[in-house]
Amino acid sequence: MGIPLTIIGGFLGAGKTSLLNHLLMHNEDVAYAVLVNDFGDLALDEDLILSHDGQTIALANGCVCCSLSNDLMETLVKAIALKPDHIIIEASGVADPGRLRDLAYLDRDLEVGGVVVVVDSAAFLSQLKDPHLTDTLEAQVGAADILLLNKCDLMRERTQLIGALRALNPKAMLAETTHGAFPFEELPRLGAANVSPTANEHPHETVFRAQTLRGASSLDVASLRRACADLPLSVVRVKGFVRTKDAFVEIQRSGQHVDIRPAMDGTRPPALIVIGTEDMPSQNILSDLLGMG
Amino acid sequence: MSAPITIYPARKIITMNAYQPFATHVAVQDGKVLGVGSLEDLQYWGEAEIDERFSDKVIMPGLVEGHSHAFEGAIWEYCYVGFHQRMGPNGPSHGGLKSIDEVIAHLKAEESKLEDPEAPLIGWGFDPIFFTGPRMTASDLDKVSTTRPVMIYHASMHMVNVNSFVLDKAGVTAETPGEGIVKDAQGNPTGEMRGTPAMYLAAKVTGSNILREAAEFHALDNFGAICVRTGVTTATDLGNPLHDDVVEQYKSWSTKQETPIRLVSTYAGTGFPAAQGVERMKALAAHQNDKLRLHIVKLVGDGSIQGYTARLKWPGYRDAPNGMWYIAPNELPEMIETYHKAGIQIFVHTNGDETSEVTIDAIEAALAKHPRADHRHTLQHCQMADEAQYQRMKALGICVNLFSNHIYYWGDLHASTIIGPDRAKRLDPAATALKYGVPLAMHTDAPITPMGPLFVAWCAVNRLTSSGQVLGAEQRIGVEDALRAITLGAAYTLKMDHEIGSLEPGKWADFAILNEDPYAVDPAALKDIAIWGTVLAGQIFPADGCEA
Repeated sequence: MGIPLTIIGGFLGAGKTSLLNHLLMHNEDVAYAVLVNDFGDLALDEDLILSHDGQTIALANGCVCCSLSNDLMETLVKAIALKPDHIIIEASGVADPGRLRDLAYLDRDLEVGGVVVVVDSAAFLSQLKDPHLTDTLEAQVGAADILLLNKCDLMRERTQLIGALRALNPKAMLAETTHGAFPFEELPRLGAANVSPTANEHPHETVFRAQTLRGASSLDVASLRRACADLPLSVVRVKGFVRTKDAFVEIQRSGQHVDIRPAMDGTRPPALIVIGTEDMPSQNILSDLLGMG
Repeated sequence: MSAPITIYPARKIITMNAYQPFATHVAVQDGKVLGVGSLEDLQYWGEAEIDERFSDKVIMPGLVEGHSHAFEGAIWEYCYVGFHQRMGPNGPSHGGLKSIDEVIAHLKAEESKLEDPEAPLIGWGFDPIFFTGPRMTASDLDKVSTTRPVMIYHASMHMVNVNSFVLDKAGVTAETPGEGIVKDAQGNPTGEMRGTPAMYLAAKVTGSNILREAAEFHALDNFGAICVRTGVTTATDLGNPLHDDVVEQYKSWSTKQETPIRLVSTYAGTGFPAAQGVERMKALAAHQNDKLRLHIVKLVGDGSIQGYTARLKWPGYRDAPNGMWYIAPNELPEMIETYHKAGIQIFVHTNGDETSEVTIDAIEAALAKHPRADHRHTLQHCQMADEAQYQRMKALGICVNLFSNHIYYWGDLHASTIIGPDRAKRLDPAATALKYGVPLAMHTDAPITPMGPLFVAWCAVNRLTSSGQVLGAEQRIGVEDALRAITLGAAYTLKMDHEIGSLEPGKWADFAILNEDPYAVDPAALKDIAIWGTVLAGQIFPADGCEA
């Protein structure tokens, strides 16, 4: 088995860095190697940094950031040698991330983790009208296996936005998020592992959303397990850490199956990520259902 | 006691200074030009040693290569297999390989010199656009070796050919997906690998990365030796991240007595926040010396025309979609404004005319907010700009450094295929720059094309393509203007024209020593003038003594 490689693309300001910050600070059991052009924008928690030698930053949670400033090839070879669970390359804001897609097909040390293109839901439609930018944005959206609609709290004209994206890329999966709160290890599950070098055959009409719930639950473990199992079918995944009435636990819910166990690491940030289709309940309702309101 | 004075008589001295364009003698003291003129003029200064060694030579100001890369010195670690002969650190290279068979024969000879049986054999400069007949395949390279990796970079650096050993080790077969793996009619991989992912795989398996930065002394010594052989005394290293270790290397190399050039290394600002770049450049200023300058930022706006990655205005490319921004057009203004406001000089790589337009717009906006005289921001390459853009450049004080070698190396291809005959005629329009008074330099972009300012001047004067066609006769310029562009013109764009670029009192005694007078030879022979060597700050560097 190779290491999944995911390429993150998307225009300047779309939220690629927010996504990476979220990933590096909130990952649970996945050791990511993230290849970025510049460390400058990463808002890494000082307490989490184990070492920083200018080229590589090692984090206490097992993640590592590598600077691409020397060379993609050398950096990627180095990242593979670190044997992370998942490698992510952040393409530049003007690059066509599709140009890097084949890395994962060609290198037997890697496996396909898909191309994720982050879209600024608030600005995309007006950027698309700028004649200097049109073709760049079209190429980026066209390259995506997953289109991550970020800044959904600021989204206007949702129908037009989704229509424009679908016109450029009828096959990609759409997912909505805010502040880049999206769990990367879910990518294969959401379909990125099934993509082929020439885009996939079957359109995914489903739009996924990810929500982050914070705060403690007033339920005990047994009640929380039931509440979790009873969540509607529109919720496809729940994962994260939460403090219940009687314990600090880790929750994994996949489909109808719920796994709740005491958290091995008591220092994990308490947060639950909930992924679902677009008709999934709102954040407030979900919080209520899980006793986190 | 003042320092001793040496007077060099010459067959002719071309000073490039306006008040006295030609002379017969130049006096040197303390590494600087004390004066030029007749022997009698110079005797004004009193006792001097007369050094006759250049008495049958022509002395010019040391040539200034305003856009090259120090990587030119590192690449000679590898085996050059180009169609054109090329000046290397030890003299005119092998090169000039006119068929695949000649390339294979040369590689075989080089292979036999390798002692380590597992060492890869790496070639560069392969340029099949000049060959007719079938393309190179893995079985061609298998004739060189079946037991070690063999990998040949094309001149574009965007494609490689490998032998079967590399294909096998990489696991590349008929089933391997991806458009970067070129396949024959039967669906089998040919050994050509294109684009970043496929080249990554080839380089990973081969264990060799030719594109790595190289600041080792021997690579820099090679770079210096090539400069001496081409008459260059000030060369640029255009766009280097200038990490601390590289700066330390450059510092110690530049202060060696035997280092024959002044090196201007520009900070690669593309992809990094400009505010951070400004801080970095302030810190870099402390590391400069007479032979090392780090005062310019270089931003890369787009890709290359022949790679279809330059950004073009309408009607764009016939055969491809528009090219790639390297810096977003809505980010460039903010970057330019930040460096401009900090008083830093800016170079912008602008190959296509959409990129030159966006860059001119950005500089205009920055100037409106923060007026600044004599900024000398320079458009690098600027190969496709039209007259309207040149008029704006003049009005805004923007300089241009043209990539005139394109006319020879890719002119035929530009006219027939890439941008068509019309726009190809105004490629690298030196006459337009002169017409509107835009300060003009011209460059080789070595190692993209071979180091050699006289060849660049020849290109601008003759505008001949490699097939012998004149491309845009109206844009040809005179020999004097061309020589100015490779001396004082280039020095001006580096803001070093008060120190170098012409021979006049107080400037560095940096000379190019030529065997022939460029004004006397047929302009068609300008590129063939033999270069004896150079002088840097009065120190003499004969080309034949500079074996690296």
